[in-house]
Amino acid sequence: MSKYSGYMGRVAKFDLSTGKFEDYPWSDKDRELYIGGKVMAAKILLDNLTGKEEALSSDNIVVISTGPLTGSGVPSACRFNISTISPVTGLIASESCGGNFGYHLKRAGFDALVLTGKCSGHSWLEIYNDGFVLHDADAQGIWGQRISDAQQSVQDILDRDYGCRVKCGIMVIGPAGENLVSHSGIFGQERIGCSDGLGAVFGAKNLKAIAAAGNHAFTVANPKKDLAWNRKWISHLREHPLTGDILPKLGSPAIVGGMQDKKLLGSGESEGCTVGEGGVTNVGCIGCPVKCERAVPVSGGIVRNPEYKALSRLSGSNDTILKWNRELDELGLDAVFAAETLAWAIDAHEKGVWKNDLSSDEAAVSALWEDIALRKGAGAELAEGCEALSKKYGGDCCSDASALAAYEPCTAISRELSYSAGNLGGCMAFLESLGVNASAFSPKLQANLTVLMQSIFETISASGQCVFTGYAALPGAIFTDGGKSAAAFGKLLSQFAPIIGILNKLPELAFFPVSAFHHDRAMKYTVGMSMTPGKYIRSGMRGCTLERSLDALFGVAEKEQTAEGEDDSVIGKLKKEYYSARGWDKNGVPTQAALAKLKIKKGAS
Amino acid sequence: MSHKITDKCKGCDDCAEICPVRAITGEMKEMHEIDPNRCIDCGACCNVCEYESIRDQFDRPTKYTPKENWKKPVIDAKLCNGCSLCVEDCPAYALEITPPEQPGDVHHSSVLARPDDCNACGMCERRCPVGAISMK
Repeated sequence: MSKYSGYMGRVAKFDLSTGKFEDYPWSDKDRELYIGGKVMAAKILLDNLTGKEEALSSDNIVVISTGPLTGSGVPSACRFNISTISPVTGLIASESCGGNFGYHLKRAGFDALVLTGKCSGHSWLEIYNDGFVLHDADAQGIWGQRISDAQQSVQDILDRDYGCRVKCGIMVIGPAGENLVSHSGIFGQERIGCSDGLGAVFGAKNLKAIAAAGNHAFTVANPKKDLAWNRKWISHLREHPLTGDILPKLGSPAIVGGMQDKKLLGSGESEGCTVGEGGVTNVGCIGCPVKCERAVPVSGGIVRNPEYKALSRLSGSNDTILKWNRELDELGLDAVFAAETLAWAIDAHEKGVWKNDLSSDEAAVSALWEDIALRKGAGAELAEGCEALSKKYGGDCCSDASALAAYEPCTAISRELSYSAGNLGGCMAFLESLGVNASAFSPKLQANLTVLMQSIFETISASGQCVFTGYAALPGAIFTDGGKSAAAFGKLLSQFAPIIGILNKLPELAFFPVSAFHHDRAMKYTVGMSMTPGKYIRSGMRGCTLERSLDALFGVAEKEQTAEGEDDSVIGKLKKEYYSARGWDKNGVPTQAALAKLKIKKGAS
Repeated sequence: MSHKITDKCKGCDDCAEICPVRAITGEMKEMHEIDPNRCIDCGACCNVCEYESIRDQFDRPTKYTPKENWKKPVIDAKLCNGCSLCVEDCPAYALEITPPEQPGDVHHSSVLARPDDCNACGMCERRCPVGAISMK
């Protein structure tokens, strides 16, 4: 149990090989240091992995973790996180997911689930409170099913077994994950965790799905203040142009148009559908007043509009994009990866690098998505991704193994910094996506700004909230006046360069509440944890360095060696400043001093 | 601690019938039992127990309420932001998030879409993070 509210107070460790469940030790000291979500997951992985484990082996560990705010009623707090070692990068993969799985994992009484070993046959895992049951996914006909069929099958089995409609969270992999396709994802409701081959890790463990349910209640530290703060925060989100208008109407693709204008987008030409046009409505995760997903009526039902990353890669008519996006979702494939790989293959054919008969015709592409997921014909090769193909056949591959996050690194310098020096490569959350042109600043400021933004967003994610709530702490005008305020904000930031640097060194100096930043007080009123903006930033710094320590264990220094001549390049200088601001050595490995300062050590806290 | 049936129970089976998670079992005319592993503490059983034999999760006695006097959730659409926690927790599947009234609007709200299914448990009122629901 925990003295803090919000947490359920238990972490479950389940061995898929033996079917045995035990409590994983996790103390209030751990909760204070690592909050939850991705940071908690990184700590558990660091304590239990040696650096020698293969991603697709039974030795790899998967940590599914929630934050203390997940399901608490704080706005946009339903997120859960999946972390493991990625088969694509060989480093940490960490994906924050919406939907209702995290909520129901907490209803089952657990803040996190640690999965070890490998199921002896194709299985799915049922969790009801302390009861863990592995079901035979072959006998029940679930292995091989597409995403929505598999979700429905699991729900039907639970309803039948319990004799009523069971309120539960279900996450599943599609055929792509079963066939270990490199960028296959995990789906909870219609929310996707596609980063770095999470689906393949589940597939390698013979685990098709997890369903969680239970009867544990959520608690709040200070109900009166929590309710008042929720009301205030929700009013702020509703009044803010981004979270009250732009995201609900256009979803995450709202930023695609702006990115095109600023030449920040790798490719893509569509923003998708707008709420109000042709019966399109906005829908969203539980607990979220923003509702940034759009439900689009098409013949045969209602489909979800693609997210901005998919729209940045898929090109065609609106109907074609909706159709492809749906097909990719159902197969459990990452749209960015699939589109990039196909584009590379067609380009390789035209350049004579790899002779193939692939076509960009709509029907042929649809068939190809299926071939990739099932590893049939040319799909078997494409399933490995364009980096593997370029190694085999030659030719350039614009991205590293990790599919890029839609931003064009040549014009988005903080994105390039993140790709080359960050823990996860392809994650979002940078000012450049809002048009704040940080590339005009000095490398030192840019590096410090990236460190600060990453640290804040790290804690938002660890607490179980959506990072869009972080953007809502920025002045609304940035999003509405065609870039004028964004430019002015950029200039203003450059005036405060020394302060940002000091803040990264001594975040505790920010001990006073900041009116637009609501997050720290949610931790206070809902969880009962002492929190200031400074402590919040420090937590994020700890998280980033912790994830990096895990990456260091898996040889990130060797994988990211600075290329010849890169030292003097803009990105080389940026990396140097970034590592220095984080307290990492020149190879990007956290120093002992940095680890001690952040109170990071292996084992019990 | 979950709800509990005391020896005042006459085995009428009304509680088992209304329990939305099938947590109550027992033979007719024999004392019934609540499975604490299944009970979600919604309190729907309390409303229908004429013998007032059920104690709540805090071990307090509960009160029988004739169906015609059952309270229903009244939702303040201005305060409600459509977060859907009440829908997720409603064991009777009586609530729904409705699309906005005007095309193009983005503000959703929870409504009692199936009032006949509502078992007056009040979980929605207890769960609402902004106090937009009251049982009246």
